Amino acid sequence: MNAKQDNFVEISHLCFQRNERVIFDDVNITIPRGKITAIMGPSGSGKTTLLQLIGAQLKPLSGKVLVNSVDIHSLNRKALYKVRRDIGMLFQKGGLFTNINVFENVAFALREHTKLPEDMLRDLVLMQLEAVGLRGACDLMPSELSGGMARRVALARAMILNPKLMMYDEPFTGQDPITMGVLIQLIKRLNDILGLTSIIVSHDVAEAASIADEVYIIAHNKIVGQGTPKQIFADQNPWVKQFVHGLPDGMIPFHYPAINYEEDLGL
Amino acid sequence: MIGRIQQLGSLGLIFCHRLGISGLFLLRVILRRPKLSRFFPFLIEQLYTIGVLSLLIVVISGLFIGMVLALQGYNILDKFGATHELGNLVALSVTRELGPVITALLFAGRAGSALTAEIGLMQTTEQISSMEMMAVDPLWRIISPRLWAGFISLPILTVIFMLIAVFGSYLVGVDWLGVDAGQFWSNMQAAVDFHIDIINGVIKSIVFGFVVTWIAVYQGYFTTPTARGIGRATTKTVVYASLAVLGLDFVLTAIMLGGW
Amino acid sequence: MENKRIIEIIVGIFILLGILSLLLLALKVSGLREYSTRNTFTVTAMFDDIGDLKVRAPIKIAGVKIGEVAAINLDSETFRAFIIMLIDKKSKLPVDSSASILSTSLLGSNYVAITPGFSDEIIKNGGEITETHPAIILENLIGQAVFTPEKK
Repeated sequence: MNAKQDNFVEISHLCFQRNERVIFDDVNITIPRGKITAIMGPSGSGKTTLLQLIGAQLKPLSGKVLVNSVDIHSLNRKALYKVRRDIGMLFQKGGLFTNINVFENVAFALREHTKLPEDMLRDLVLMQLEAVGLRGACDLMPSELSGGMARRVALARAMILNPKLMMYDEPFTGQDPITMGVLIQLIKRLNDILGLTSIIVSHDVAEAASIADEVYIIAHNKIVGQGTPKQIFADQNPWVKQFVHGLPDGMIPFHYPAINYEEDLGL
Repeated sequence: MIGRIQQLGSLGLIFCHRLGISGLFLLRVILRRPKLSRFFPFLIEQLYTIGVLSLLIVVISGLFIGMVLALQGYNILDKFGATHELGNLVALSVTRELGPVITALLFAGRAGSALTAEIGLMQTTEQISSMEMMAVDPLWRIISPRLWAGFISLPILTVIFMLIAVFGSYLVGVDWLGVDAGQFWSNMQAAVDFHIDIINGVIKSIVFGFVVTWIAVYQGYFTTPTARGIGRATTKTVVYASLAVLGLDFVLTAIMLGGW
Repeated sequence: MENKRIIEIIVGIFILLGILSLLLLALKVSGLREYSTRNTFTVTAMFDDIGDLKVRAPIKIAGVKIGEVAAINLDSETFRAFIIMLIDKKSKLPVDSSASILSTSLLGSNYVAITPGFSDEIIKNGGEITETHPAIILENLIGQAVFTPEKK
């Protein structure tokens, strides 16, 4: 199928459990370099967990996760932290540090990892904020930002060290149409201009599919669908079909299991 | 019946498990320290938040406890015609027991709960996770300064408490109730031994500072990331820390009286 | 960063307060005076019975504290108690002084009381007080009173 394509992330035979509940059962995913990959699925299918496994915040039961050809779970703490500098992650709740203002939030990674002079640092931070359109907000505190603005600041913060891989955890969830449009644009542009590899985890099918190059559908601990957005929409697999087209009844039934209706009413 | 015993057993195992986790957690936090020059500003910041801001409640409590002790003590000593021993009574009570214990309890309630809530909130809003992903270890950046600030603050607060309490008892005993100032101080000085009473009190406060801060930080870090979870974690900090202080106080007192 | 400097200063004051409190406690509340080897000289004495005497018990002349008991040992040949005392350098003890073990009160703790002698010669560092009186053990007293035959 695909010739020797350069994959930034390769996940093979991943198995993961949480509190004795199986989350992933023999999952294989490849994230092609320089492209946007969307990972979608119903709530609770473990999408955020997948990102945490890639970032080595969690350890799998078995299976391998290769990030840029490195087995990320075999690294010691120091090496792991080094690799993490090349990975940026945008969390669902933003994760901005509430005790410092926007400027300091974005500057955080620079201050921690580099010894740049203050004026250079200032320029870099302002450039990042300009890229997400929030340069004017640099003196505000996180509590003064709207949800969408907070996420954009978090994006600027995650990107400031120029990571090679960006992971977005439900970036579109709960956003108004305008903010959603802005975010979609930003993710696509940043990916293309900077040559990033992006992984978007979402259940907003239309939005994610509009910019993704490759889509994976996860349900019931396994991959049930894989391909370009066009292929996914045409996929006849009932799981995929129900999820992608938003059908209320299908493989995941509408009715919660119950006894016969007439019996229940006492007829 | 068997079911009950089984429950008890599983509770015991859970307790040991949690103790193990918290012990390893403590080890990781203590062992991971970067250069002192980077660590120092955070330590100072936390010493302020945890130590200095607890000063007010410690001083006021110390004052009132000293005054009440003097009042009650005078009342009873008067029956034996021994009011000249009032200074004695208060100083020994405060340096040996009340100073370390009450300061630790106040600390657990004020600083401990604040620590747990703060760290718990950071966990819930994914601040700790995002810091990890930015390749900064939250254990030394966030947790460690708070831990060390707690260790250092509580002994300082305790010593200040002891002094203020003695002063409070002086105000009530000498200025108000009329105990002779000279006798007050001289009997006190004769009875209070620096090594046995004051140093032991300080040692107790060091142990308490260690335990209270450890519990507070652990509960905050491992809280369930919900609003309810933070609430429960904060309550657990205050309860467990208080019980631990009282229990350890007994153990330490027994050791110290048994010939230190 | 003015804020930061202020905070640092306040923390510094906080720590100073702690040290100050400790100092005040040491001096005013416990009346600490260090009996270290720098400002003291060593005197030894042997007792038949030291009673309840403990290390760091005070040594007094005319009720005034002039030193502390540094160590208590058992002399394995004579089976008498051998104590080492640290005495304030300012005190000058005649060589024929005597040492007794008294109690501070009926239920009180024991201390060493030195009654000065009349000699012109002063005990030197490492010297020994030879005339000693053992502690008064209540049981022995009662035993004496009971078993002393009546005179006449």
